[in-house]
This record gives sequence, structure tokens and C-alpha cells, in this order.
Amino acid sequence: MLSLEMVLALLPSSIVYGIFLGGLYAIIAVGLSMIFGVMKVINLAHGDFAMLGMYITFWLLTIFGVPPLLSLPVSFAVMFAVGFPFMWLVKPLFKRPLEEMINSSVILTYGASLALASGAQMIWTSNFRRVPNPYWGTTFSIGGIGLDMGYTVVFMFAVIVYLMLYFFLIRTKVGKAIRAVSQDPDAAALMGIDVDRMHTLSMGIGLGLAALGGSLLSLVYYLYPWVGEQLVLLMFIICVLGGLGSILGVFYGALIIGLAESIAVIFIPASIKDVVAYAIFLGILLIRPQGLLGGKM
Amino acid sequence: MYYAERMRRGVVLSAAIVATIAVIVGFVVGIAGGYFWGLSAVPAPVTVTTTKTVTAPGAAKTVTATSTVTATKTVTAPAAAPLAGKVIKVGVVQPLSGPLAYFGESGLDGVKFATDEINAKGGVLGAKIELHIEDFGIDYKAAAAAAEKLITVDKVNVVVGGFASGAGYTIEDVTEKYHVPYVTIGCSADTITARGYHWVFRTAPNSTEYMLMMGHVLSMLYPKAKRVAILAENSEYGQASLRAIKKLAPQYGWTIVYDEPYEKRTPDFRPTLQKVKATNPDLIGLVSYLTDAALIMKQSKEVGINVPISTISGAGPQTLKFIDLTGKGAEGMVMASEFWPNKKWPYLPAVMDISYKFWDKYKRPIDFQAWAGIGVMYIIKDAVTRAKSLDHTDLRNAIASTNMFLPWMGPILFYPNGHAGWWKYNLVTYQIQKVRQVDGIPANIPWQSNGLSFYAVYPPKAAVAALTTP
Repeated sequence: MLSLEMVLALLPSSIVYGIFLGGLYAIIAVGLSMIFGVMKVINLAHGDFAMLGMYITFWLLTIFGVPPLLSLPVSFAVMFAVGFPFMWLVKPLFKRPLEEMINSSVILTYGASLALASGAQMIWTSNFRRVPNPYWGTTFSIGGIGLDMGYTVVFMFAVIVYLMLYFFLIRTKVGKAIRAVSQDPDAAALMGIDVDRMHTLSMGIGLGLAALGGSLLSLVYYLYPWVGEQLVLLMFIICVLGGLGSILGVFYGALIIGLAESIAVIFIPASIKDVVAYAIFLGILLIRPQGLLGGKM
Repeated sequence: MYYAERMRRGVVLSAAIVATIAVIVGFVVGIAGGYFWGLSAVPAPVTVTTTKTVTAPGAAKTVTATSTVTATKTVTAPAAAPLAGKVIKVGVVQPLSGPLAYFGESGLDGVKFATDEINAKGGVLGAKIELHIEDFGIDYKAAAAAAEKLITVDKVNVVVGGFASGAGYTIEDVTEKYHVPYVTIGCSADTITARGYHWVFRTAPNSTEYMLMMGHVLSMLYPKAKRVAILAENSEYGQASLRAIKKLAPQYGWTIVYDEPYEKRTPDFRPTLQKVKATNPDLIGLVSYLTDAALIMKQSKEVGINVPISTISGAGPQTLKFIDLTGKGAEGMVMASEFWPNKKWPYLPAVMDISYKFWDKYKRPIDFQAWAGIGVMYIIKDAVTRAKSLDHTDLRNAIASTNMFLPWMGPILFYPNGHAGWWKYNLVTYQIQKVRQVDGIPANIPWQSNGLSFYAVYPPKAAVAALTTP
């Protein structure tokens, strides 16, 4: 196939692209992991909340002229607020036994996903749109590797948001409370933590992060009402790979998938690159069924 | 504490009561108001709803609008017409949700446009056309289920639609089983009409015809190109096109240096493009739909590809949206397509007339899908007129012997296998060029974006502009 020197020539840039792609995947997927970690709810509508984030960025820019990066906090805030009514929808599930609750949450959120995507198509039509931004198609090169401004900005913001989230969960009192609830809700309640409120809060943060990830994605990708459907399976795999519920695990999981997809293309046709990602996924699950960092938040 | 609790309960309770009353009052006022407004607005039509069955969320409004048009006209239909009072039921199976919805809706708009026109002129021999619309999203098995439902429950006379070749396969299996004529919208894979099926008719050019056209034009445009890399998506459409390209490449002196299929709708094509670049091609051919093509165009610059990139088979990206998404970088690209307003074959005023009418109604140009939607309905109208019957077999035979001429499309007829045999005459290559005044086409055409539009450049009988090297 390709000679060794050609492989060596392609490898560095493939690694860089893989890391950048991983950063993007991580920021969209982390909210999913967090919601599962705290509430054991599998949110299949997560991709659709990311889709809503993309549309928020798009409309803020086209109607009010808000620069795409400034719309990041807005889309976070809007979806954070949406987290409250969404929680109200999910809450009745907590009365059920855990196993049954997880199953019901899949069905409930799948319904929500269909409703959101169809609703978006009714309101905004099936049109493909692009968020015009200065980073789109702007390139520069470092050491012979052609880099895209869009992906670079997205990666930088993904890292910043990730650090903020990490700091929030490790250092702040509320963050500690959220982690306590994720470890053992009953014990947390006995220690005086308002479990309900922590649930609602982490739902808000989770959806907010999805929207924020979507807003970042809109800098480098097209938006249309069904983009969420396309994202959610990959995000789910990343979360399970990293260990559902683990924040740091998601980051590693996303990097592994991003790198696997980028590097695999050198050796195999691009149409079956996902096979490599899934093979790695299965391999890791064989050795560590709980995921890379499963069981820790 | 106790009183506070009770008070809180009282507040919640009264709020709930107020809200309930508000909702009930709202309903009553709404219904009554709507009723009286309806009375005062227009006299009720004589016959009501000739059209039903709407599954697509976006389609509901427009279809109901259709029904009022048909309803008021029923009264004026000529009494002597042999099919007077009958209804031609046309089942439409299109992707109306999911990532293909953009194209699916374009085709459906075409179908509705032609249906409205035909019904407004009194229908076909007095019979009205009634649309039964089904959506299959991206699930080709659902397309088969939709076709089955249309045939067995709605008892349609003919099935149309498909768009994706993969859906075409599953639909034609069903129509073959039930002996119902099926006219495709799109579905360009060669094999759709190569399975020996009796009931399928394809209105799109097949992959080989697209390739014959594109190969010819690209070798005129880039005569020095020898090493050609093909980026084809891993769908039935992509792979059928790839087979056609590989078969025909030697006759243009091309060596295919890269032909690995890619996973469609990936956000990052750069690793793939790097590999393509490493094969050192003179020309890169795309077999992609809209967003993938636009993203590949953009990301190819990032990995430093400087050789020309062109669509090579099929008209996937031939929409205004492609220019929207790609921007100025789209200028100079060529693609072969069934229809775009800026062409003078066969008769420019007719082309302009239908294009403007369509634009005024749907605010989108007649692209390769919208045309297919319109064309399909005119084929059915023509077949019913000659068959004077709505029987499946009569209709099938009438469609098979179609031989008509549309002043904005050209001759239309079918090969015995059901493939449209007219593309030798009607297929046109367009190039994305700056919008300006050319013969008979004003500079203020609405179907433009970023100051660019598609202009027919080949063959000469259709060309309104010269093929220019970008």
C-alpha cells in the first residue's frame, strides 16, 4: 500500500488533526457523561440539544450580529434554563427501580430527541446552514502541518471549558456536592445535600455543555435539524469508552476516538475508519468493562 | 409554619384553577372566533379535501392548500371527459426528514407544482390528481414499508419518488411485487433498471451517462490531467458512480490513482484528503452530496491541495446551497445536471417561464430534484391521457410507450428496461460563473448566491456561456 516514508510523512499532521477532532468530540460528549454520572439518565436527546446550540449561534449572528464566540455563554445559559423543565419531564422516572429507570430514560429521551429534531425542521426547515465566521477556511501552517483556524479555536475553547468544568467539580462546594450525589445519593442526602437540586443543576449544566459544544461545532460544520442524530451515537461510544459518568475519562475517550479515526485513514479506506474506532472501543471494554476511568467522576 | 404551608397550597391551587379557566376560555374563544372568521372570510368550497394522507411535518400546509385549488376547480371540469369525477392517486415516497430532507423536499415541491398546474387546468381527462405523501427519513426499509402502505391501504395508481438509489431498490421490490408502476425521482445508480424489473421507470440519468458527459467536459477543461483521484461516498449512489468512472476512465486517458470510498457526513475530511494529496493527482473527482462536497472543497485548501477539484458523476451538489456553503471558492466548478434554469435547450423562453413560476411559488430554483418532481407528474399526465384508464397495467404500458416533448426539457421516452433514454439529448453541463447578463437571461435572476450561479456550457445547443478554465 503506502510506503513507510509516506506513512511517516502523513503521521504528524494526522495526529494533530486527531487531537483537534478529539477536543471537539469531548466538549460535546462531556455533558452526556455528567448527566449519566449524577442521575443515571441516558440522554439520547443530547445531540439535539447540541443542535439547538448550533441554531442559537446561527440566529444570534444572523439577527443580532453577535460574534459566534460571544454566543457561547448565551447558548450555555439558554440550555441551562431549559434543563429545569426537562428535569421536570425526567423526574417521575426516579420513582422507579434503577434498572427500569435507565430503560425508561432511554425511551423518554429518544422521544424528546425526535420531537426536538422534527420541531426544528418545522420551524427552520430542512435547509443546510453555515455560521459565517472569520475562522472558516482560514488556514496557517506550523512545521509543515496545515492547520485550520476554526478547529484551532474550537480546540482552545474546548480545553478552557474543560478546565473550568474540572475546577468547578473538584474545588467548589457545589461541585463537591454534585460529585457526592453521583457517588451515593442516599449518603449525600444524609449529609444535608439537597439531592433534587443537585440533579436539576447537573441536568442544566449537562444540557448547557451540549449546547456550548454545538455552538463550537457550528464554527467548523454545517447545521441542519437532524445533525443531533448523527452526533449522539459517537458521543455515546466516547462516554462508554471513557467510563460513563467520568469527566476526565470522556476527554481521554474522545482523544482516542479522534486519533483512531485520523490515523486509521492512512492505512485503510476512509469508509471503514469507524471499524478501527469501534474495535478499540470493544478491546478496551474487554479489558475494562467499566470504561477507562469508570466509577470515578 | 402550618398556616404558611396552607397558604402556599392555597396560592398554588388558585393559580392552577386560574390557569385551567384561562385555557378553557382560550379554547372556546379560539374555536368560536375561528368559526365565525371562517364564515365571514370566504364562501366554503363545493367539494372539500380531495387530498389526504400527510406524514411529513413540513408538508401539511402546502398540501391542504392544494386541496382547495382542486376543490374549487372540480365544478368546472368538462363533463364529457372520460375520467370525469375519478381521482388519480399518486403515492409519493420521499426523504422528508433527516439529512436528505433538503433534496426530498425539493422533489416534493416539484411534484406539488406540477400537480397544481395540471389540476388547475381541469385535471387529466377530468380526473384530479391526488397526492399521498410518505416520508422515509434515511431508512430505506421504511421506504419499502411506505410504498407497501400506499399500494395496499391508499390504493394508489402509481408510486413516485425515492431520491436515493438505496431507497429506489427497496421501493421497486415492492412495486414489482404488487404490479404497480413506479416512476423514480432521482435514483441514478445504473443497476436500478438493470434487474429485469417490469414496473420501474427511472427519470434520472444513470451513473454511466453522467460520467460520459463529465469525462468529456473535464478532458476539454483539463486536457493535461492524467492522474485522477476519485473521492466517492460509501453509498449505493457513490459506489455505482465509482464503477462507471473506473470503466470509462481509460477512454479519457485517465489513471485512477485513488478510489477509496469515504464515510459520508464526517466533520473532518483532512486525514483522507492528505492521503489523496500523497497520491499526487492532477485532478480530483467528487461523488458526493451537498455538505460533504462543500466541506471537502474547504478542507482541501487546509491540507494544501492545489489541483482542480470537480464533481465527476451525478449532480449531488448542484443546488444554490452548494454555492452558499462553499462561497467564492465554488467559481469555475462544472457539473452535469438534468436541469437548471440557465440553459437554452430546447427553448429558452419556456425554460425561463417555468423557472420564474416555480421560484415565485417555492422560493427555490428548479434544481435536478425539483425538475424530476415536475417531470414525473407530466409523464403520468401524458400516460393517463393516452391510456384513458387508471388500471395499473394500462398505466404501466402507457408510461413505457411515452414519447413526448417538453419545451423546457426536451424529448422524453423510455428504454425497454425502464431507463429514461433521453439523456443523450437533454443532459447539460453547467459551470459556476459570475452572474451577468447573457442572451435572454437577465443579470437579476433570483437563483444566484454570492454573485454566482450555474450556466450551461455544454453541449453547444444548450450553452448560454463559454466553458472557461478557472
